[in-house]
Amino acid sequence: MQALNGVSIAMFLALVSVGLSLVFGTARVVNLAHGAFYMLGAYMMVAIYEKGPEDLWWFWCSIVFAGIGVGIISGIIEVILLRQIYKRGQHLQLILTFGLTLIIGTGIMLVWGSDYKKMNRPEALAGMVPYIDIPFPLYSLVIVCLVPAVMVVLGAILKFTRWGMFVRAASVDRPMLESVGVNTNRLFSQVFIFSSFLGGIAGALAAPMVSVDLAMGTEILLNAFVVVIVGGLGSVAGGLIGALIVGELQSFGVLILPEISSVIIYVVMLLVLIFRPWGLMGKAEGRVEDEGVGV
Amino acid sequence: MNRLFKWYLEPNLPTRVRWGWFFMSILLVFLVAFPFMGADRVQTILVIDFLILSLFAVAFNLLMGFGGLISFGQAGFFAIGAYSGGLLLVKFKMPVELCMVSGPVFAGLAALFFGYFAVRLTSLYFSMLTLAFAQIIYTLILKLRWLTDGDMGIQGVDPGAFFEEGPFRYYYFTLTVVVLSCGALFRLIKSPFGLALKSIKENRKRAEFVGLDYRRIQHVAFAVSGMFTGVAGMLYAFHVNTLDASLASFSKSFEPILATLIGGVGIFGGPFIGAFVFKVLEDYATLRWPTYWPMAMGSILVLISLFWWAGFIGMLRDPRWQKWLWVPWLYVIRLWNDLVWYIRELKWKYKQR
Repeated sequence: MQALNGVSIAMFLALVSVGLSLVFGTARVVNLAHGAFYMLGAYMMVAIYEKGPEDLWWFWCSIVFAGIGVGIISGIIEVILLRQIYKRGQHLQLILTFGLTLIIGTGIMLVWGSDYKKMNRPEALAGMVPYIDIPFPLYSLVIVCLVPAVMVVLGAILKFTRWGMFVRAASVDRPMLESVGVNTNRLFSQVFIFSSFLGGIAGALAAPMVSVDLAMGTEILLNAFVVVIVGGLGSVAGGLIGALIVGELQSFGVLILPEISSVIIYVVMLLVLIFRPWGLMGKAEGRVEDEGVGV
Repeated sequence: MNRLFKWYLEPNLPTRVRWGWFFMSILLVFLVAFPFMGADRVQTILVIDFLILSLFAVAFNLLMGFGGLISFGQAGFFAIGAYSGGLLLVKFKMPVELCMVSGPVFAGLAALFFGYFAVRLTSLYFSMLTLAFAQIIYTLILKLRWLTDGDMGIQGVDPGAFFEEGPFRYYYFTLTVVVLSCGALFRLIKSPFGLALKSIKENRKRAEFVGLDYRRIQHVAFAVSGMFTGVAGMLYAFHVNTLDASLASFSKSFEPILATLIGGVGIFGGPFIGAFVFKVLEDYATLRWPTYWPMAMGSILVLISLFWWAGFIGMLRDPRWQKWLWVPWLYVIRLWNDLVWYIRELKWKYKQR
């Protein structure tokens, strides 16, 4: 029961952290606004779902619409703001994206109000899983099946398409990619929009399970950083494994050590950083340590 | 005394340094004279806040500006400094002097311990590890209810009768501590140790070839920064008298980062200006738009990162901006010239008549 709960927590974390590590891998941007995009996706999902007939078909449609909406907003942000400062120091990207987090959070508060939202699941997904003894919501089962499928597709895109090859190449050697004639600015925009799309979809999927409020963005962002560090940067499988570890630790930690349950994941992250700084699944050669930070 | 001022009379001293000392001394004179200029309680509280934030930011600037280590977890040491003072006073009934000393000591020890792990990593990994430390401390404060009262917070951290007698005693105490700490940090940054730290930031490999033990130097810098952050935390605890877990939160860690960025990274005087601007903006925005002030703050951050990226003093040092800085002065000079000519003309006409 707890294990299954942990798995379903892990699924959203996996989607969010894969987006984070994609952007970090290609454009070397630590996107603090990613949690805000996740939150925006959840709020959009609630708003769109209320507008239509509340059935299963409209449910999937509104998830896709929420993802696309977040993608459009992130695209505007990337082209107008973020593109200006890729070449300057990393600390400026931090402060820009942190400012964006504040702006998006307040914008959401202006549009949808500051009290938390509750969303009804569609009829077909509301019950428990039939034919097994333990009570497990059907919706969680759908998530547990759907998200790994998305991750597999994502991994295939990165591995086998031309675009995925560019993305992987950008994480290895950016100047080289630029000099062989790839428009890296456009590539970064595409990656940023794609990752925010994933974040928005994660938020939309999470909306029926968690309470949608203004604190959900920061919460998942911090957890996703832990996932990225534990799993290793720029690795889809690592993201999934890291998310599973973090999700399980969270759901079992509440049982075993309720006092300090949220410390456990940070302790694990500490151990990983000390003994395998490049993450469980990351590559030691391509690690960022050698580049240094341009302050 | 003679030795103290001899370097200032040195003819080869850059103009920049002279200007810096000039403005610093003006700031100091203003701060010392501040209570005599008819300041009320609210203004005093604001200025104490500014002083504490500047010490916090100067200690952070030692790491980020001079060591190249962007720490996201400074609020952890701030909270350790504040809580160790407050807890010893309220829960264990220790004398106030001991509590005040214990803040920096505990924060320094914690930084010494955490720093051992943290300096083994660089760039993003370092930031994330320090963030994890701050989060651990945040959660511990929330969850260890028998010690810290969790989210209830700790009330009644009074600095004692001596400080509450006059309205400005605590102000002068804060000012003295902040000035002494900043002086110590300045001395440290200008010492061979500070130069070694800077050289490690510029190029770690070459610093290693020269024979510097870069890990040990960064470790010491981290511990020193943590200790002075603890001093700021201690001052804050006895200033606001109540403590809660938000002292160790993520947004508290961003305060010194923002102050340093607004003022100028890697410039000793930067954090003072940054802290001043940050406090004024925060105060104005919270009064003007109480619910929407994060948005104002966020917009300012975005604008800073796009157009103001060298920080205030960094801009002043940039020749491209210095050019624009002189333009208003030229206008003033021209106006003055015109005025002088006009008066002369008038006088001449007057004489003719």
